[in-house]
Amino acid sequence: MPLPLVAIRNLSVVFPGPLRAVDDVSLDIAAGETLGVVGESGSGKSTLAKTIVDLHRPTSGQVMFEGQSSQAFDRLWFRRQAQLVFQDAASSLSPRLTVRQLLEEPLRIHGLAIGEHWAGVRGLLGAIGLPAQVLDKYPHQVSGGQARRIAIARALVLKPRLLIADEPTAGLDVSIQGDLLNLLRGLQQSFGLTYLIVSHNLNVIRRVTDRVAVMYLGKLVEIGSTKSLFSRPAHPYAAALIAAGPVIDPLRRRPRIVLRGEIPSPLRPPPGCRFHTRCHFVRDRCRVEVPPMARIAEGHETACHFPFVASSEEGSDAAPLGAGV
Amino acid sequence: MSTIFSHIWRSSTGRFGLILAVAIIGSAAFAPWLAGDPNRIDVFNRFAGPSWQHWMGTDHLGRDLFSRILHGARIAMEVAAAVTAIALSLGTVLGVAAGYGPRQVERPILILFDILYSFPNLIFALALVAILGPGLDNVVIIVAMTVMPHFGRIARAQVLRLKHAPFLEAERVLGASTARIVFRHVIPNIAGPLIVVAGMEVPAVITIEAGLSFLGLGARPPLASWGTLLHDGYTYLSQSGWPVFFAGMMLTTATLAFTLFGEALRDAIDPRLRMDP
Amino acid sequence: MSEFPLLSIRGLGVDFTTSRGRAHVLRGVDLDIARGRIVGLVGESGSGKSTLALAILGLLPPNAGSVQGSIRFDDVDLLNSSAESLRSLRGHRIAMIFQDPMTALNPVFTVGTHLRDVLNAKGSGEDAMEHNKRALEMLAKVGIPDPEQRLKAYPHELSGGMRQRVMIAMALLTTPDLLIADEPTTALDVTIEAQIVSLIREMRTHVRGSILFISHSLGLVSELCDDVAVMYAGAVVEQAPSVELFANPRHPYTRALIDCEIGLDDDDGQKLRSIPGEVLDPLAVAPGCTFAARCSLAEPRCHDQAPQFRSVAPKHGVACFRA
Repeated sequence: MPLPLVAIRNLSVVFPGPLRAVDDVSLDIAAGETLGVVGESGSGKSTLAKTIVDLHRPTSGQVMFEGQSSQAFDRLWFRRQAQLVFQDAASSLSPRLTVRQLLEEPLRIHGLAIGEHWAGVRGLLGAIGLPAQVLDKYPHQVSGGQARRIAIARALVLKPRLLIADEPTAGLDVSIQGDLLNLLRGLQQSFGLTYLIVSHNLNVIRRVTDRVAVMYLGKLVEIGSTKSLFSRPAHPYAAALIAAGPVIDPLRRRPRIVLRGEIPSPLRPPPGCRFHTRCHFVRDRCRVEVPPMARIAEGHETACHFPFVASSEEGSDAAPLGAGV
Repeated sequence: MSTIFSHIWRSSTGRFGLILAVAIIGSAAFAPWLAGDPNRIDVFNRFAGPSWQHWMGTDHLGRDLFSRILHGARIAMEVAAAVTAIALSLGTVLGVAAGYGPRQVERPILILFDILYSFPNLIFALALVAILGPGLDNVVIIVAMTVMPHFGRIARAQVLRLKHAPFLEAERVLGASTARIVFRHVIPNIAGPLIVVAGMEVPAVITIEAGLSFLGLGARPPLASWGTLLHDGYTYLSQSGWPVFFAGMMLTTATLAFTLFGEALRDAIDPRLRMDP
Repeated sequence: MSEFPLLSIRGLGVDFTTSRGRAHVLRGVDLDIARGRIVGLVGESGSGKSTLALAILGLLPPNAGSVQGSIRFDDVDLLNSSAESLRSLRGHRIAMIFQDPMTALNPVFTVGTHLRDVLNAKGSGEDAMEHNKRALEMLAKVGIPDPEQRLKAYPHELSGGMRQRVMIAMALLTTPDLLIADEPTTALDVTIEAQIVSLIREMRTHVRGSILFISHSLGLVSELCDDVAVMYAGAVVEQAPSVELFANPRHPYTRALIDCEIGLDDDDGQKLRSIPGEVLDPLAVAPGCTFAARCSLAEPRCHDQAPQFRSVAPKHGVACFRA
């Protein structure tokens, strides 16, 4: 088996509080794939993304890049491997610099001659669909869509291998979200990128990712290929999340699973399975014992004591999908 | 830059302050060419009233008051510029260090600010003069120390506001060092409020300098500072009221001009009051 | 339409005075809300949905320069009513739920105070005990656990979903004829959104009035609403019963918008759809169809002649020459 590009092992990130934003998460990102991370507020998906690019230090566990801990690397070398496009792209651009300066900044930081590399940056602008006129504007003078493209261009100037996009379509109208997703896909092909896409929009995730990880209150609850996870979610939370997305076509509507209760505060996560307070299929064991990740199909794992599984002995008495309607 | 200027120009008080401030700075800069020797003694012409020869009259040694007042403006402007420059740079460095640095750096700086802040300006200045001795250079250092925490606190508050801004995190992800982030991205973005504070501090600095010089702790005779002019004027008030009148006028005008200008500058830069980008 | 609608808007135009000039935020809106129906109003940012809601409530900001057309609510002409009668209408017959409940809830008052204020304003002549009881019942009805405790809570002590439930409770206490919900779930997580949507659906059994549900999500509107109106650049370009509209969209914009939604069985290799070009600048004067510049079906007359809103099927209206 080839070495994964990124290997996350037992990663926990604890903020003062204590707030266990990410709690014992392990997963791999293979070179060239697109991994989606979905979850609601407090799930820790953004913290996970920021920890991979070393904006947060792991409290325990580690993030390994090609088999080596990210913190053992030369800082500048590591920055050329992994980049992040922030959720709020407009405010991720330093407000007093022009777009040209913003695009030169990564080259300057890495001591690369601007004259030598500028042609490449101009080519990138073309590929991203940014007109040259934008170069002499300030961030507050460009549209939201352009700010997003500038942020993507900046991240790609250093030719990273991993690009993390935090909520790439949040706040975009549907009429232009397709453009952005097409762009990301095109860039992946032309630059051989590996993607980690963090989003709460399940339609987007289903459409553009190869594999999906579902997080809830800092825990990874399910991971698997996009096809298998969307068609046969094993964790009741994943199933509810998928069913919660509204569908236009009345004939294609899935039975809704309306979860009861609120998302608990990550400052006081419930014991046992974190999801047990809202789960329709909760049993005594769920309230005390933290379920470990377990394989349920090829490349499909979930952390649930009683997952929805079509044909396993243990799963036979589990409630069928959609029974909580 | 031009938008800030036009914003100031559009407010009538701002325009008034700006014109007066420019006039004062200009007359201070060109004092040697605009007026004669401020120290030429003419004992036969003491306590003269305003005339064509001496526009503001003469003092107890027969020196030309107009010339002394213009040279006084020079001292006031020099002190104000030096104090603001020192306080602004030192306050910014300490404030940014406190805001951006670790807790071990932040604590002692905040304690220093609190100590400097807790003394009333003039009394603190008097105490420092007692230690350092009188003289204009010492006045500059002393006044800079008393107003520095103001800049420092503003700088720290602005840094704390920015500290977790996505654009700073984005620079870190690109690999920027802390020094690069501070100088290229933090300081340019906190400069606005600091410049506003600088503008607002100038009249206060002018007053403190005049006060210390009045008490004989700043500019020493025969140097013409508005404070010493006032002091000499009071001493000989029974002979002539003109020195006190003109020196007091000038001090008041300068304070008013820089206050109006500072307020207009604040309105122009402060985004909360600004209408359109 | 057998009986005349609860709300009938004709040719509503609203201009705003801005530093850049005159912005035509609404450019002649025609919209009917029938009695007892949930009407979805969809449109992208800048289409004028929220301004339309404010116009109905008589709450347009002061820089709204000229207002043309008419808004009839039952037998009241809203645009020519006094501020006093509009206020009374808002307390009794029209209620509003906002996207961000924090803007509508006063942080220094408890949930109980907010609810009792609604009842006081209604002036039902009941005493405080009765008001408290009705507030409690309503909190329970909108699915708030421990209503006694929550009555004493301040807005900031509640989660986003709970605040939205409080807003809904306040709106329901006025027993409005028309409830306007402006993107009530946009700020919420998906599973909480599902809860609020099912609550709004349940509310229909308690309320005999109509609901105007403003949203940018076609999926949400198709699941919840009986009728749908599609807004683009300050005008309603198409209105029809939900099933009809999504099965048989007639306006090119509606079709393009539906195409942009990511379908359940899209092929991975396929390109995602989008609408080329940009929304018409509100400052621009458009003699023709506002969508013409982005429309793939546009013909010469679309650029210089504005299409009238017309009926193309029973209860199905559209403003397009080509529909």
